[in-house]
Amino acid sequence: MSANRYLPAARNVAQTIPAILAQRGLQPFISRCVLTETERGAAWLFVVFEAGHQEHPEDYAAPDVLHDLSIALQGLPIMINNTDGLRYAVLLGSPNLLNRLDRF
Amino acid sequence: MKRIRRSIATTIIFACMPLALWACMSLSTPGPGTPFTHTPSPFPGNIQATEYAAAQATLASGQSQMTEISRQATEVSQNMAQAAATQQFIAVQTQMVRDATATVQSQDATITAQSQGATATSQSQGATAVAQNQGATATAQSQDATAVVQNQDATATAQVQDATAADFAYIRNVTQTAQAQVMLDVQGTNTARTNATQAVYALTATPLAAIQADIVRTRNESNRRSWWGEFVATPLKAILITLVVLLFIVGAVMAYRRLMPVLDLRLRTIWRDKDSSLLLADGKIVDHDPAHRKSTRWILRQPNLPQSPSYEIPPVEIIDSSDPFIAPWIAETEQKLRTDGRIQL
Repeated sequence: MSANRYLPAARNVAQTIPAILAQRGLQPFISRCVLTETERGAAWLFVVFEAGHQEHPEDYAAPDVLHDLSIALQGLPIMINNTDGLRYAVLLGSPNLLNRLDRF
Repeated sequence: MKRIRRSIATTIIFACMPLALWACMSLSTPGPGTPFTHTPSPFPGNIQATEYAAAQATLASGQSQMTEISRQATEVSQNMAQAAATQQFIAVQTQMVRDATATVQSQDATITAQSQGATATSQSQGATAVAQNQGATATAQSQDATAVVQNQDATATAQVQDATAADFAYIRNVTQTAQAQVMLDVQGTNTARTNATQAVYALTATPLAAIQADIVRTRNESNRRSWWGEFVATPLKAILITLVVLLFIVGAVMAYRRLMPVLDLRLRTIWRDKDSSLLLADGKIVDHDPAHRKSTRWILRQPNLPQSPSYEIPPVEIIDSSDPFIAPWIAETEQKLRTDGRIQL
């Protein structure tokens, strides 16, 4: 299946994350936004930060920051990846997640 | 996540089951020193001891009276047995006297017959003597002999009659004595019965007897309540408490399984615009109230965020997941998810 159907949501997430970071005093230098969908149907949006611009990278991985981001993204799971650079991974959709949401 | 919830629910169940069983055991097995349950008397407490002592005294008095009555009854029965024996003795004596009288009468009859025979003989002899000219003397002798015999007969008859009369008088006297004794015994029996009736009436009619009856009734009621409480109420309470505990545990587990996903989602989806019923799910817009919102397109809204258009947001690229550039990112992220256990992909 094509990941194009997640593109509007990915754009909104990409617009939301910088605003949240700026609200918390963090510099939102984003270099790339990569959307992909795995074979099992999980759609991931990777928000990659520019290398060398973060004075304190651990601030971006703070639990309260991730919590605020998840709330702003209306409950979408968000994780931090720090190998080969700093980036956020936002789970836009998966079959299991859809099933969980369909319950309500 | 589900495994953790199941393990938590199982742990809660296994933690509550011993508590429930312990509660049931503590309720169903009374302690060795469990005091006897006694219903308080309806009388005031300060005079209860005095009334109890009076009741005990009344009880002792009644028991002594009952003992006396039983002793009198025993005595009456003994008198009646003695009277029966006396009657039997009198009957035997009467029969003996009758036998003796009959013997005497038969002897009298024999003597009379002999005297008559002797008279006839003397008369025949007198006639012969007259015939043989020995008339007057023989006749006189025979008359004398007859008179003597008759006198003897009369004497014997009078003696027999006297003896018979004496026997009859004795028998009558003995019979009257026995009858009088029997009547006295019957009268004594009636007196004893009357006394017993009066004593029983006194036992049941006095206030002390009423107190005693109340004590006995209270004791019986306490015993009955104790029995019910021991064999009916306590097991029922234990069963009901166990049922309530089990229902509570089952309800808690069901509520946990039913509501925890909602709570989890709510915790992760706290912010929502009050006027919006839209939800971002699986990259799609979920509208819970489509009728209310006809043609409005969903926009992921930012809650009071400072709009900073100065940040340059790069466009979203779509890359295949098999790309070697992005595959390590996916692997790293999914491994973190599996480690975290929040969401199963």
